[in-house]
Amino acid sequence: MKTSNKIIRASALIIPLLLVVAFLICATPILQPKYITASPEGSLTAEYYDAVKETKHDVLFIGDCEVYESFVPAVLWEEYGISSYVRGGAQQLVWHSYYMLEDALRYETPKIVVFNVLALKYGEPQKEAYNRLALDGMEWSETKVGAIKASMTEEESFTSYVWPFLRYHSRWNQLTAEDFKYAFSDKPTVSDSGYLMQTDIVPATEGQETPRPLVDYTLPKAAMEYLDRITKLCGEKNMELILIKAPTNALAYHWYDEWDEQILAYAAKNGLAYYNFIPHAEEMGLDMSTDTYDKGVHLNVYGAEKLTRYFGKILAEEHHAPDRRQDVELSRVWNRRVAAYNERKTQMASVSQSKINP
Amino acid sequence: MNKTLRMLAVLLAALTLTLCFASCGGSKTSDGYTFKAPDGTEIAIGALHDDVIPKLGDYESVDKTDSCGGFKGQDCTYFYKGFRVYTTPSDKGDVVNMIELTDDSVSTPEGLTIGSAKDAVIKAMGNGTAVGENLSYEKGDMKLVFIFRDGAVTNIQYMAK
Amino acid sequence: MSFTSAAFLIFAALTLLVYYTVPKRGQWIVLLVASFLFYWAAGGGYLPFIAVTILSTWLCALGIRRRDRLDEAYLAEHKADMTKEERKAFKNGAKKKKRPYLVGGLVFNFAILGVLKYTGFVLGGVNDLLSLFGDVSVTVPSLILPLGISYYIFRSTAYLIDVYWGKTEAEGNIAKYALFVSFFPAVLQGPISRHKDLAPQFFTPHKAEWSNLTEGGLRVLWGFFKKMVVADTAMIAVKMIVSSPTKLTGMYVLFLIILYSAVIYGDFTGGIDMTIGLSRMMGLRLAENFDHPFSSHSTQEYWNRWHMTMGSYFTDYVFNPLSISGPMKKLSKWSREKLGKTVGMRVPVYLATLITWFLTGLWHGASWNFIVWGLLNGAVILISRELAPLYAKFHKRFPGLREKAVYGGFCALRTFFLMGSIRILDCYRDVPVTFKAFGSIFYDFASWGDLAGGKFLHMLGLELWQCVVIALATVVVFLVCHRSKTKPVLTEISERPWLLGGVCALLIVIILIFGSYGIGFDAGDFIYQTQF
Repeated sequence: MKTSNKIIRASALIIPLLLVVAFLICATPILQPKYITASPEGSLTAEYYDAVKETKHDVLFIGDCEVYESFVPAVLWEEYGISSYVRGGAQQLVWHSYYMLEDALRYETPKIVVFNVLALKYGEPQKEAYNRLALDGMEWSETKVGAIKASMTEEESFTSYVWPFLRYHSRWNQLTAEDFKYAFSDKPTVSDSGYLMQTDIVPATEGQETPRPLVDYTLPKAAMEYLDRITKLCGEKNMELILIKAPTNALAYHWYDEWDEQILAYAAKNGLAYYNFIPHAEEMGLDMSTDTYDKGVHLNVYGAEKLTRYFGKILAEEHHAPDRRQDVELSRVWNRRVAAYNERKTQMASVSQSKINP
Repeated sequence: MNKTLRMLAVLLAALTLTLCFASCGGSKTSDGYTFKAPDGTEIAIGALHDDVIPKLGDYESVDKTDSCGGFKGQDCTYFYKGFRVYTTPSDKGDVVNMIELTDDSVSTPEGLTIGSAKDAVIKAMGNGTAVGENLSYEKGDMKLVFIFRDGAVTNIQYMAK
Repeated sequence: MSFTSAAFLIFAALTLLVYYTVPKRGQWIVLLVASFLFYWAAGGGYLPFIAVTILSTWLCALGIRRRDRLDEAYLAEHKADMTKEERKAFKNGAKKKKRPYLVGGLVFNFAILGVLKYTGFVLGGVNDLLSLFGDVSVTVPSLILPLGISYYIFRSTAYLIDVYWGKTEAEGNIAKYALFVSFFPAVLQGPISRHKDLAPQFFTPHKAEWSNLTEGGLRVLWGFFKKMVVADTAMIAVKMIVSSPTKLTGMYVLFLIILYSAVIYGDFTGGIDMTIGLSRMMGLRLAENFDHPFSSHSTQEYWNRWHMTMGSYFTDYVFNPLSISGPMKKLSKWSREKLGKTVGMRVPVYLATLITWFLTGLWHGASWNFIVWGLLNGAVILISRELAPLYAKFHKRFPGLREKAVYGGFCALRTFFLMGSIRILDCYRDVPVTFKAFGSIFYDFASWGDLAGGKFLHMLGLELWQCVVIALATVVVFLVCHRSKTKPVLTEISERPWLLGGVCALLIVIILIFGSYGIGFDAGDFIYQTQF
C-alpha cells in the first residue's frame, strides 16, 4: 500500500477519535454539577482556594454541617478581629476532615484548628454522594489522592475522580442553563468564608421523644484513628486543636452522653480543650423557636451569629486567637468579606420573609 | 400411532412439570426477623415505606429530617404506641431501616417485650452475640438487638446489618 | 477485572502493545503471561485449580499419545504379518490400553467441577430431605469456585477426548497447552474453542495487520455497546420486576420475557464480541458462538445458533457418544422388542436428549431452576419433533406458506417467546415463583392498566430516556444483525476508513454517555462470566 494511502487511512481513524477526545474534554465540565442552586455544599471545598490565596487564616474550622452552619467568620472578624475560615462539608466524615486540614496546610498554617466531634460516630463511608461533595472541588495533590482512597465506598472507582465524566455521564438530561453558564467560567461564591447562610426560621418542635438507645456506644476505631492523626498533625505543625460539639441536638442527630464521656477522656489524655455547647445553648441566648431553619437540626444565621459571638470570646480570651484589626491589608480583605456577608444576609432574609408573607 | 405420540408428548410434559414442582422450595418472603405490629401488619427491614406506613394507620407523631447536602428524600421516624418505625430514602424509594420497640404494650413474634428477663430472651432466641450487657442476633441482612439494664430488656431494635 | 473496567482496557492495550513488540516467536509467551496475570487478578486462590486441570489433562493426553505411538510403531512393524482380524483386534486392544488415561483425566476433572460447583446444591437437597425427619442437617461447606471453571474444564476435557479420538495432536509443551486452556479473553465465558482450531494459531507469527486491528477493535466496541447500552440498561427493569414477583405480575412478566432476552443477548453476545474482537486484534480467529439466534424458526434451530460452542460440546461429547453407547444400544434393542417399533425407537432418543439437556442445565448452574430450564428445553425439542408430521400435513395443505416472510416472522417470534419464557427461570432463580409469575400473564390483566400514565416506567425503575435508549439501541442491533446475514456489517464498515472512524467515534460517545455504568447504575458483571 502506498504511504499516502496509509496516511489517509490512519487519518480517517485518528481525526474522528481526536474529535471524540475534544468533545469529551468539553462535555466533562458541562456535565459536572455546579453546586450553586442545588447542593451548594458541593462548592465549599473549592471556594477555600480563592480565599486562602487572598489572605491567611488564624483559625480553621473543620467538620460536618455543624461547622458550616454554625460559625460565621465575618462575625468573628467584626467582633474579635479573628481571621478564620470554615472548611466544613455536608456529612464531612473524620477522614475528610483530616485531609481538608492537610490540604489547607499546603497553603497556610493556622494557629488554631477547631474540629466538631459529631462525625466521629461514623466509622465507615456512608454515601457516595457526600464523597463527591467533599472531594470533587479539591485541588489535585497527594492529599487529594489520599482523601479519595480513604473515602471511597465499595461501589466507587478512583478513575471517576480523575475523570468525573465517568460519574456524571448520565446527567445530560438534567442539565440546566447554570451548567452551561459556569462550565468554563467562574462560579459565584455560595459561602461566606465557608459559612453557608440559612435565613429561614422553622422552629424546633417541642418533642418529648427520647433518643434511641444504642447497643454499643464505643466510637468507631477507624474514626478515632483519624482523630489521632488530626491531633498528631496539629502537634507537628504547632497548631492548637480545639474539639467542639455544636449546640444543636436534634433527635435524628443525637449526641449521647456516652460519646461525650469518650471525647472528654480523649481531650484530657491529649491535653486538648473540648467544648460541648449543648448545655450552654441557653447561656449563649439560643432560642430554638427562632434560631433554626429546620426544626432544630441546624442553626440558621441568627443562631449561628449567637454561637459565633460566644465561641469567639472563648477563642480570643482563652486561646489567644489574635486580633488582626490593626493590620490594614487584612482589614481591607475582611471588610469586603463582611460587606458581602451583610449583603447576602439582607438579600436572603428578605427572600425568607417573603416566604412567610408572600 | 397418533395416539401413542400424543400420549408420549403428554407424558413428557407431565414428567417435566413433576420435576419442576418436585423442586419446590417455597418462595422466600424475608430473610431476617420480622416484627408484627399489634394490628397484625408484618414489617420487615428493607420493606417499602408505602407498603408499611399506610397499613399501620395513624401514627402519634412523625419526625422528618432532611439530609445535609440537599439530596432528595427525608429520614423519617414514625411514632406509634409502643414502637417506632424508621424509614430512609433508597434507590427503590423510602424503605424501613429500623423498628424500635419502646414499651411493653407490644412484643416480638417470639413473645419478648420490654421488661423480659435475659434468660427469657436467651431461651427464645438462643445465645446470640453479646455486646456488653446487650444481645444481638443476626439473620439474613438484618439484626435484632435487645438492650438490657439490670438484667431486663429496656429496648428492642430491628435494624439493617 | 471485568471486561468493561478501565483496568481491563489498560491491561488489554498493554498486552497488545507488548504482543506486537516482542519477536514473533515469543508472542505466545506474552499471551501466556497475560493470561495468568489476568486469572491471578480474578483471584489468586483460583490459580492452583486451573493449574491442576492443565497439568492433569496434559499428562493424560501425553499418556494417550505415548500409547498411540507405541501401538502405531508395533502396527507398522508387524502389519505385514497380521491378518485383518488380528489388526482389528489389536486396534481394539490398543484403544482399551489408552482408555484409562482418558477416563482418569475426565473423572478427575469432572470430580473437581462436581465437588466445587455442586456440593452446596447436593447437600442443600440432602438437608431438605433430612428436614422431613426432624431437626437434623449436614453442614454445607463453603467452597471456593474458581471463575470460569466450567469453561476451562470443558475446553481441556474436549482436548483430552479429541486426543483420544485422534482428532487433534497432543501438545508436548505444557506451557503451550496452558495457554490454550487459560487464554485470557476466552477463559471466563468462552467460546469453547477446539484445540485443533485454536492452538496452532497461537504459535504462528502474527504481524500487526490493519484489517485485524480495525475489525477486531470495532467488534470490541460493538460488544461494549451491546453490553453497556442495551443489556445493562434493560437489566435495571429486569431487577425491579424480579424483586417483586408477587406485585409485578401479568404484563410485567411479559415485559420481563422481552427485556431479559435483550439483557442476555446484549450481555452474552456483547461479551463474546469483545472476546472475539480482542483475539482478532491479535490475529487470532476464535470460533463464533452465535449466528443470529433470535431469527430462529424453531427451538432446535435456536440451539444451533445460540451458544454454539457449548451446544456442539454437548452434541459431540455427550449426546452422540451416549446415543451410540453400548447400554443405549441394548436399551434400544430391548425397548423395540418390548414396546414396539414406534415407541421403542424413541426411548433411546428421548433418554439421550433428556440426559443431555439435564446436564446442560446443570452446567449452567447448581440449582433447580437451571435443571428445570434444561429439561424444558429438551422437552420442547422432543415435542416439536413429535409434532413434525402435523407440521408437514399443515404445510402440505398450505403450500408456499413456509416461504412467506410473514410466516417466517411468526415462527421467529414464536421461538423468541418460547425460549424467552423458559429463560425467565434464570431471572427468578426459583421454580415455583417463576411458574406463578409466568401464569399471571394469562390472568392478571389489571396490570395492563399501569401502562397509562408514568406508573409503568416508575415500577420498572426506568426513566423515559432509558426506555428510548433501550428501544433505539435494540433497533440498531436488530438492523445490524439483519444486514449481517448477507454481509457482515462490521467488515463492511472497517473496509471504509472514514466510515470506520466515524462509527468508532459515534460508538464511543454513545457508550460513554448512554452506557449504564458508574454510580447509580448498579451495572453488573457479565452474566456468563460470573455464573460459571
